[in-house]
Amino acid sequence: MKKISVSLLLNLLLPIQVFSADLTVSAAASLTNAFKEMAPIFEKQNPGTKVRLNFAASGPLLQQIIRGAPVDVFASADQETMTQAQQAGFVKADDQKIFASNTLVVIVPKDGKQNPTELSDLTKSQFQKIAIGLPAIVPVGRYTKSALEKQNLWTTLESKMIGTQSVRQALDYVARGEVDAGFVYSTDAAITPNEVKKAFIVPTEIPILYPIAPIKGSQNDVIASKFIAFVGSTQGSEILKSYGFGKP
Amino acid sequence: MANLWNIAVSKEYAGKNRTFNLDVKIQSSAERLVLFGVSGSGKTQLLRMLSGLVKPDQGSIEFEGKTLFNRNSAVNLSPQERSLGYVFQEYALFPHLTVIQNIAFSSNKGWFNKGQSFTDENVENWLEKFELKNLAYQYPHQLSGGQSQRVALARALVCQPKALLLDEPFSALDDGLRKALRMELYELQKQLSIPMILISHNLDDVRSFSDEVIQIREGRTI
Amino acid sequence: MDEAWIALRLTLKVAGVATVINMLLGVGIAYLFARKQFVGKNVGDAILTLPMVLPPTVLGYYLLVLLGKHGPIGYFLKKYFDINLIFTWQGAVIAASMVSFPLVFKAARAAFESLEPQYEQAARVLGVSDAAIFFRVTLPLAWRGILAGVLLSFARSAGEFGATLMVAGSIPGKTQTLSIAVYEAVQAGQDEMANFLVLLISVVCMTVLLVSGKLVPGRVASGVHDHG
Repeated sequence: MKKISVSLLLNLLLPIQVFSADLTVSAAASLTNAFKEMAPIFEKQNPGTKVRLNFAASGPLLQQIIRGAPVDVFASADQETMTQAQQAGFVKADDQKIFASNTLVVIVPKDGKQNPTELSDLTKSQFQKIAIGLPAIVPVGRYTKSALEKQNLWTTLESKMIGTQSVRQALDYVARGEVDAGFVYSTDAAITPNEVKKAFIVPTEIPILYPIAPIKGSQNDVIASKFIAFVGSTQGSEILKSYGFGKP
Repeated sequence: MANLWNIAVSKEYAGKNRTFNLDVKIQSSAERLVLFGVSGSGKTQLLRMLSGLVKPDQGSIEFEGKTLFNRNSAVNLSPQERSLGYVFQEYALFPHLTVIQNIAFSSNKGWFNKGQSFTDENVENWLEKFELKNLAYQYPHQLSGGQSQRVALARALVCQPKALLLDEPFSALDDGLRKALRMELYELQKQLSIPMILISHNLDDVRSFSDEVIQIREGRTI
Repeated sequence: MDEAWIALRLTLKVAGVATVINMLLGVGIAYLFARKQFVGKNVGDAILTLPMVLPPTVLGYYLLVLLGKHGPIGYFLKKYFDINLIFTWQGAVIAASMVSFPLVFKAARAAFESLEPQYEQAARVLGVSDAAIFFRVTLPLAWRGILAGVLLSFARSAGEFGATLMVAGSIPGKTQTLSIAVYEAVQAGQDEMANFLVLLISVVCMTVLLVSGKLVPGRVASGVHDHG
């Protein structure tokens, strides 16, 4: 009797989980909904693991990592930011994996009367304010800039631009009707179908690809790799697809 | 014969532990009326009501036949409208203004205080009368008790009030000064023929100054 | 570093206008609260103090909803005056003014309430109108306490970030104040710019402190409580 109760007590006191960990994942703002859906599923499959999600524009996320934020996994909205992470020594080239793709679209408020069909339409006077992610820090802003520059429209439209801190902020401004149009990913446009409508797709010079990688020197590299594998798995891909992300 | 003062007021003051009831009736034609009583008996409150700074709950106040306050007919003249001078117990001289600016305060009704360099005959007279000329540019904190009292008096008299209310004007002074200033006030009253109501808890003031005394105890006239 | 000077000018403009608004409104309303009795005073005081206590982003969100195109005030302004405050420096002024209004209001109210009533009473008996008394007696005796609140309000307006970002966005030359510029420089990894901006902000704050030290020096004539 005594022996059993002692071992029962010990089992209650000692942590049962072997792989308990807090996994910190910094992901681009456009991945918010998809990753929020993935996290609890991953936690269930890996009992004892808590996934902590941190969403913002890829640029600021990188700055946090560079300044020592304890991030385990980084998923960015463009290769450029990931390359910067690599050059800064936080990510190994071999560890990077492309797991999704996206398209750039122009959206307008749902109840607005404007229906632009191409980029040059935005130069018209009914478009006074256009929301664009700040190219310095937001990948969607960079994609937009290169697309506009290709058609020599960047400088013309600059005076109308309202720079945003992330792609989701651009989405919000369009949803509120505070701007006349905005550049976001098609996956973002799908989030608020009642407030925004897609006007047209913007072809981009380089494809919009999302790389993910573990951060060098993190304490949770085993779990980090598992998470990345999950994102790339069939289950992860299905979730991403349901939000409108394309194949890598 | 109509009375100078026709007062019948009451007010309830709700305090922490007790309520204080002021219920006063005064009919007087005295030129120098003294309200006599210990501190806390309600004398200052009564004076405040006369000047319009405090509103009674019930009653009426008439001076020289004019109604200053009447609860029933909803008359309540503001202090500005009553033309009654008031000398506060602590003089209440404006600390940010010089003696001459203090005295001249009522001679200008505008939104700005007069600068240092204005002249006004009326003000000059009072400065001379109270021997304050050499103190004209001093600030209140630089004055002695007796000097402050004279400035307060001059300030109240500049606007030619119809009566003067004085709240313990001598209480902060030593005996000698008290006697001297009391005499001065007596002479002044006779000279100007302005009715005065003076609050005091000092019997000498009653004896030497008043031509009528009203005692107030615990809020009631005796 | 041109952007830095632009941001500095804009910050001073926004903070300056916001502070003037607060001074006029804050002193006026504080005087009412200090001198008049009316129903709902405590609730009113709490509401007026609320912007200081609310997280700036929460305040910014409220403003965005109220002043936005579909908001009650925003819709009205757009319809009758063709005014849109979102993404404008005027919107930034509103955000800055709201968060720092309580600083002037509370300081002014305290200054007025700590004034001994006998001075204003003496002035009333001397026949001067209540309005004139405010300018000739009340204000001159209370200005030190009020000024302390005004300076704090300026500093707070100059540093406003969360609410401003929501309502006015970050448009260089129009709404990108120093605080927002620092934020963006850091986000973009532009250390040099961030350092320079921080230096500018620090100089502004030091200047405010030094000026306040000069304007509110030591003792006042005895008989008046020191409200500094």
